[in-house]
Amino acid sequence: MNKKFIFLPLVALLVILIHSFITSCTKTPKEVVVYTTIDQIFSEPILRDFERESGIKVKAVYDTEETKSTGVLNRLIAEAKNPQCDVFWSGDPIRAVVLKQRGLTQPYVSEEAKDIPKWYKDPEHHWTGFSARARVLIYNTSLPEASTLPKSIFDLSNPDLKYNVAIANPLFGTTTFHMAALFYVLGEDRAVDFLNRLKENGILIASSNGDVKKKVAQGEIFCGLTDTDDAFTAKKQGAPVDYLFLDQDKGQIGTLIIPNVVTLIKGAPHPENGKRLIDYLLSRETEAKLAKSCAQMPLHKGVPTPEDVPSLDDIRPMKIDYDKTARLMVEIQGVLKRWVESE
Amino acid sequence: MKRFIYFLTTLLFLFIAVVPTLFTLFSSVIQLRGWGGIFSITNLTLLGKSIAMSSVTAFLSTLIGLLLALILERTFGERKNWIKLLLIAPFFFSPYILGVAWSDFFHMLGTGEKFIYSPWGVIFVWTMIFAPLSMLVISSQLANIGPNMEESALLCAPYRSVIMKITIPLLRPAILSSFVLVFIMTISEFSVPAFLSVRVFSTEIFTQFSAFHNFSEAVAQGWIIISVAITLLFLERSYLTDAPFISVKTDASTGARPIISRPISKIFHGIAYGSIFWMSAIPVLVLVFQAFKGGLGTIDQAIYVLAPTVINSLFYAAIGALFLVLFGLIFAFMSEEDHLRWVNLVLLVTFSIPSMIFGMSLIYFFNRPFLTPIYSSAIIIIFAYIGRFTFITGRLIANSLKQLPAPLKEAAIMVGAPPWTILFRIIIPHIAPGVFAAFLIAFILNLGELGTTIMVYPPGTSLMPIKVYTIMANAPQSTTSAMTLVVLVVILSSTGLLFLMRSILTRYSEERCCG
Repeated sequence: MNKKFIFLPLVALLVILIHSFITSCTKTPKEVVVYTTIDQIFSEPILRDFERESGIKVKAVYDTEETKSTGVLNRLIAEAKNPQCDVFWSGDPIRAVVLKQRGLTQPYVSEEAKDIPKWYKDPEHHWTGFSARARVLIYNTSLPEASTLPKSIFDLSNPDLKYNVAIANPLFGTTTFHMAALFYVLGEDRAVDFLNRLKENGILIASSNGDVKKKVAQGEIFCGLTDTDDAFTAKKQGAPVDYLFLDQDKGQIGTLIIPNVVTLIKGAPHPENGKRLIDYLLSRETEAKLAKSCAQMPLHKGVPTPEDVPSLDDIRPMKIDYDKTARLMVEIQGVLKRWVESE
Repeated sequence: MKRFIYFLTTLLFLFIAVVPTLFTLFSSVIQLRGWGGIFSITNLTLLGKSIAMSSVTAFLSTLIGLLLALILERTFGERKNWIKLLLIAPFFFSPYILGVAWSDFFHMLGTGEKFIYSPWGVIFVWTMIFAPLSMLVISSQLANIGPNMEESALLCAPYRSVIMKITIPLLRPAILSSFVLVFIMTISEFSVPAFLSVRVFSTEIFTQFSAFHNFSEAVAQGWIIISVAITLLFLERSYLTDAPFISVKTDASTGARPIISRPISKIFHGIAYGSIFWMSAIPVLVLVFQAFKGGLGTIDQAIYVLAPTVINSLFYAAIGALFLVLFGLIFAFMSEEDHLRWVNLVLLVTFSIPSMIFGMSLIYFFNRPFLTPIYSSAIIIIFAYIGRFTFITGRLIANSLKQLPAPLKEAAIMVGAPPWTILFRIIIPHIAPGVFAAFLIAFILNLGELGTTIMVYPPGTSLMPIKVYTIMANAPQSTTSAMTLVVLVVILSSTGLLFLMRSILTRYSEERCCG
């Protein structure tokens, strides 16, 4: 064998690696690093638009279904001593609160958020909410059960829906937040009692909200709790499904509204660019784009939305304190784990 | 010079893979509030369940692998390589994708859904994924067994007795290696049981890590998996020395071909083709069906989404494979030529570390101000590949070195050839097939690696498997399936291209050598 065949690629490879090393050492002022748990299919176009409009290069790390959207959060925690990220864009307030509790975020008040209701913002300005999703009941329209639909989340424990309801594993994602909201509204005893009744009614615990959507769309199960974007996409893809907001009558608890939240990371390498990205994400334009792509409901008043996107004005929201609920979530994880593991 | 290279390589490997892991493991032990939770009844029960499920999978995979290896090596001619390639196709997908494909298959069948969402379903999916690996391990050992013993035995015994009394005992190291390899790979695999809602020890680690953000407990639980794997490896090592794991045949000997009747031969061939259908065709067909259900536009969309990642992925996979071959080559020399057996142990231990824990270790160790250039550049991806797969390339090359006939080297030494000449003119040409196989396998493994790279990939970097995973959340099933098929086509095409390059290089070398 000719020695050149061994050494030529090695030399080429070393040159490339040295180049990569030097490039990473050089600080680029025109860039921003964002970690996001929002599905890449929806978040990437927004970040590309920001890149084009601002001239600031966006370096993103996206989360995955397989890691239950906790991969980037864990990475942020692991990187705490030497932060690499400027902005954390989360699909719910829980993760931002976890970061805040660990002292990994810093306050930032964006001018773009002044019209956003204060209950969607952290009182100490560590996170700010924008475009929201809601928890909905997705159901299969082709199954006979569709003739009588549940109206309240508590109906899901009725015997006529035995073995016909699915929920994502409540230890992960927005389902955890939904559970925490129920604990906040009902108190621990009533919430646990409700969960136990669901278990007795043979509720199916799916691996994720996407899995709930899939099982309902395929007719494996009649209905399940998921987020508006999942239900909206399933409908858009032509699956025989529809969705409804639960507990909308007077005196009922309402449905959980889950805003996206954006956070500036403490010790961010590019804080000014990070603030510009936060401003962009909190803008009305971004909310309009998210309404169009994944039916997220704007928190700013008067943002134009497609006809099939519900308005927050028409939904009875669950009345919760987002910060306290997110803190409560950390406390109830043990209870939820025992519930998942119980037979 | 040789000692310097050995020293430098060892130091580099310790820096890349061993020190970060030890650093994380020991930090977790120090930070852990108590070991009571780790050794709770629930955890021990789950550990028992995991060991049982991995053992059953390893047993079934090895059994199927043995049967297929015997059929392919002893009843097929040249076609066996194509059959092998078709059989290992599932290995190009991630276990998660295959879990989804199999559950969709049972849903399409309209039966068996209860089965697939059970521990037996997990064992079934794992077996479908890892049996081809067992087949590879065992058939490469089988190919290295000379025909003499089998042919002599055939003179006085029927072929069944030859198989049971000669061939299988000779295959004992490969059979055990296959069992150990599959056991280690499944005991830390969490994506299939998590998707199929089956609680095992690896999903418990994942829950501690992802739901509770309790890294110390997760890493401490990871210690238990590593300890189980090491115990198994020690047992295996004490029973056998130098099991081949995977080897590539470098001489031209062929095993004894049985004289079997046409109908029986047809049955054997039917089993091989049936296995291709079950293990490869079904999941691929499910993906094809789902992809084309979305129309031809879905394929276009998948190509459009993945196109920017293909070059990056191929590039890093190739660079990673080059480094893996370099490390593997030097470690193989250390263990085979200089009998430094501790090398094997170090490589085995790093191989048994769950990918998630290795990813965390890389973050904890390399994410510090003076190491940022490594952590925030593509170098961290190469480090991830090196930490995960040096064991594989090391063993492949070591087994090729084992097959080097001693007289060749001795003759060169006697005529006074210097060590570098012996290395480049005798040893490397002789082990070239093994080195090429090591490169190819490393390249394929790198292309599909997700467990560690997903945790450390630098912001803004796009790699194929990561893109598939990040896009699949909320993307239509047809898009996810189409992307998986695109990945398969990329892997198969690049593998084909590498084979083509090898044959061109071989022809070129032969022309230069022979005038």
